[in-house]
Amino acid sequence: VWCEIDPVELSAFIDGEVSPERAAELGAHAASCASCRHELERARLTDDAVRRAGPPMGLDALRSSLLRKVDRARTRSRLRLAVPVGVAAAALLIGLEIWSAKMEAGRPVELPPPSTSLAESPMVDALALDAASIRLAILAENPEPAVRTSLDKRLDAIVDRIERLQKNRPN
Amino acid sequence: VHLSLDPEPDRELLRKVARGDRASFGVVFDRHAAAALRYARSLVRDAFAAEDLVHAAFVRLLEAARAGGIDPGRGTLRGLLFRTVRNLAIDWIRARGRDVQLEDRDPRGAGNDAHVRLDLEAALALIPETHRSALLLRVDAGLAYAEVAAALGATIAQVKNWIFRARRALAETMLEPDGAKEVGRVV
Repeated sequence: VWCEIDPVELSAFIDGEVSPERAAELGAHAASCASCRHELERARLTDDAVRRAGPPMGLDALRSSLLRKVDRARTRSRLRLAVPVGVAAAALLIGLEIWSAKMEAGRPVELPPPSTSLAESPMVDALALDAASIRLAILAENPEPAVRTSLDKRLDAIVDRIERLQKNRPN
Repeated sequence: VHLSLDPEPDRELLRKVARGDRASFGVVFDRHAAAALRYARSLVRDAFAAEDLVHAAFVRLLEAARAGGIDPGRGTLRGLLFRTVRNLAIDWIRARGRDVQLEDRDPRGAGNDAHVRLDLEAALALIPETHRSALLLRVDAGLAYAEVAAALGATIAQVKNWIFRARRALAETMLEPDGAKEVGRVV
């Protein structure tokens, strides 16, 4: 006896690719149709065989390799973010250092006259840049105490130098 | 705390991967890589090349993640992944100058005894490539018919037909090793 159910549709039924209503009809039909049950059982066995295929060789190495790639991408991403942030922070700190040095010297924030600026500002600015770099390193890297102490000493020395330059500045 | 028992959707995982979350990438990999590797091997029949192809496919996935994710119009992550594997396999075969498409190799031509129960790989090799791909993508990779159709550049009706034919052919080869053919659905 030939069953009238389209075997292609029965295959789609196995895959859950028919409408819920049609699935209910096919399920009810299969319960009383030996031919459809046979077809479903054969499909189940072949599908099981496909699914039983174990993990292919090389999977672990592939996983490790790709995870390293994710890590490298993350590192590059952080660097890309860190560079502009660092530049911006450095620019800000440099500005603050210059402003601070000039304010401590009792000089107005406005640009000084060319005669004094040309004689002194380049050195002050260079020292302020050094100080900003050290402060940035302290902020960004949160160094160990011993390193932190060393950096603080260097920072103090630079600030002293700036102050000395400011005191000796010709009025 | 994620209390839901539902697996986290691929698309959400991909967003986390874009932020460098290696654990999320591990989940995506574990979810799809084994089937992708088996599929690649079924296409190129070369274990090392298959690994390279799957590696390249996942790298493209990573690039897509970093570029803002997958456009929903391009389908699901797994659909895109398997489509990429297939396209890379086609490129690989072309690059090697093989005068074949993703075609078939008949293990019976190598002297296999038709009465010997063939293993799955050999049985799959007897099936036309499109049928085999459709079955593997549906049954092994878990793609919906629409995703299989997109991966294979076919219609859903074709996919439905190919999967049926692949199942029947596998059953004939693996379950009826004496070569008995389907004699119709006669009871």
